[in-house]
Amino acid sequence: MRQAQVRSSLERNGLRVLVAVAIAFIFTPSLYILIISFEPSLLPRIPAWNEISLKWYRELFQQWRLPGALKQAALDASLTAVFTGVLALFAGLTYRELKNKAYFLALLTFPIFIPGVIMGLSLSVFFKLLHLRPSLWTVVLSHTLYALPFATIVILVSFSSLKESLIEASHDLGAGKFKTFKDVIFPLTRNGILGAALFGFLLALNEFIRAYMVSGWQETLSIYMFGQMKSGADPSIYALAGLILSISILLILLALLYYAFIRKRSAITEG
Amino acid sequence: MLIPVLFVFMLGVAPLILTAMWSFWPETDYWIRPGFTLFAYQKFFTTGQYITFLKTLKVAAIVTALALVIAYPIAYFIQKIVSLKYRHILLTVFIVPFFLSYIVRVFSLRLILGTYGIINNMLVGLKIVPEPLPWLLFSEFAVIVGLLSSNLPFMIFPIVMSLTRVERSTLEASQDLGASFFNTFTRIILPLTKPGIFAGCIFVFIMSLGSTVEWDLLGGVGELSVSQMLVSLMSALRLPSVFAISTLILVIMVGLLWLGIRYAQIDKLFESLQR
Repeated sequence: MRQAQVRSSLERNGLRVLVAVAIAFIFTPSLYILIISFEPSLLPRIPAWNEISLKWYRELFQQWRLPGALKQAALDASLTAVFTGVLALFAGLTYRELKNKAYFLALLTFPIFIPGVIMGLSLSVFFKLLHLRPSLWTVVLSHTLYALPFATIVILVSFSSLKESLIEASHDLGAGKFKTFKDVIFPLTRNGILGAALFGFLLALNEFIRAYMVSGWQETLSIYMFGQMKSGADPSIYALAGLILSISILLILLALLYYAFIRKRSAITEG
Repeated sequence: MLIPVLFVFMLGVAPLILTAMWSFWPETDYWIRPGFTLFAYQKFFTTGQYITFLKTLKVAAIVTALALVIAYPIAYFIQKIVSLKYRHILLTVFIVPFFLSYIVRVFSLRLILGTYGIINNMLVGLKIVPEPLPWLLFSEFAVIVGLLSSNLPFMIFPIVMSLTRVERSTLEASQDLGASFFNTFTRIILPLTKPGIFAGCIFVFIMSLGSTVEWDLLGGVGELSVSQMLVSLMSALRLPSVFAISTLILVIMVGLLWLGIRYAQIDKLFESLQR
């Protein structure tokens, strides 16, 4: 018995180490480039504490192509967030009423399995066929297709806590479909919808290959950054990487704070 | 209300069907015309294209196997060992990489694995190797590291989801009946988590097969991947070849999904959502 306990605690610690190593493996590259973006010299290295500088960020904002790319990325991510949020919400509403849920779910999650380069290629030819010129809109459509499966899963998780009896009660009390949605469903699933939109925003912001294939001359931030990386430009590339990471990290932190706040508030009102 | 279905069908399914159809159309000057020819496929097997294809398949298989071996214990730890609070924290931690730029991650690995990067500096500094290892970067090794770093969460989540099907009481019953952990694992846990394992493997395999950035930024000179080949064929407007190679990848993808549904019930993964 004792031996078994010793063995199981050994296994537990082994697993802890594995998890820690995996987290380090996944996050070190991103953190590393964020740190070296504050090094003022030309060498990519970890800056000394008293040398931390925003020099390359200042340099970055001197580049004439950056504002355009930033604007495109912001528009692309925002529109994708709206489209993804709305489509995922429709998916969630439809899903409740369906008999053959498995087929519906299979179709909506299918795009996860399409490799980015193939989705990009086939869409670029498909858009050409439909006489849709490469534009911000083709990028947004591609990114919505990319983000929708993730958003659908988020929405379905949030809808799964929605009790059918509440909806029936609302109908019994004479509320129509829209009123039931506005006063019952939406308030209860609002956070899931926000989560779905957040997925849309962040996935679009950081996606590269699909945008690259369907964008024509419209540069998003990721396309601009990839060009700079390939050409081996000056260290402002680290600042650019740092910038795009900071935007994502900021949004993730805001979302986490928001959800923590919600949980706390509901704990207070319920308890 | 069927807008999402229409949307995915129009943009996600129809272009792929067209791609497969167009791969049989003959080439004209920089475009294609209706007809039937196997020319693009012939070219695939007679020129070097299939070698690149096979090499990418090999790398994707290695990455998938490594990801499974690393992710399974992690998923088990998250779902079955830690408390609910830590489960939420760990799941959040592993969701975050989806939201961070993968181009940045891969580009950073270039600095980390380079001749004067931190890994080589450390190895030389600790006198483990006499001089920097050249094969850490611009090599198949670097590509595998990059793909693993990008795709590990894609393996963890499906397995975590499938582990929710393993009830604690079942595990306790198995233990009470005197089964060793090995027996419990192979007879109960493994069969119940098969959907998650399959779904994770299909994810990671397809993602790795279709990856461009990792190969572009970490791969060696002259080491093309399938997707790099596709991008360069596309810019040369060799459309039939582009469609034929895409179709081959799609056939593999659909085949794997069919196997997954047929033999591993990967559609059961979302069981908890299908009430």
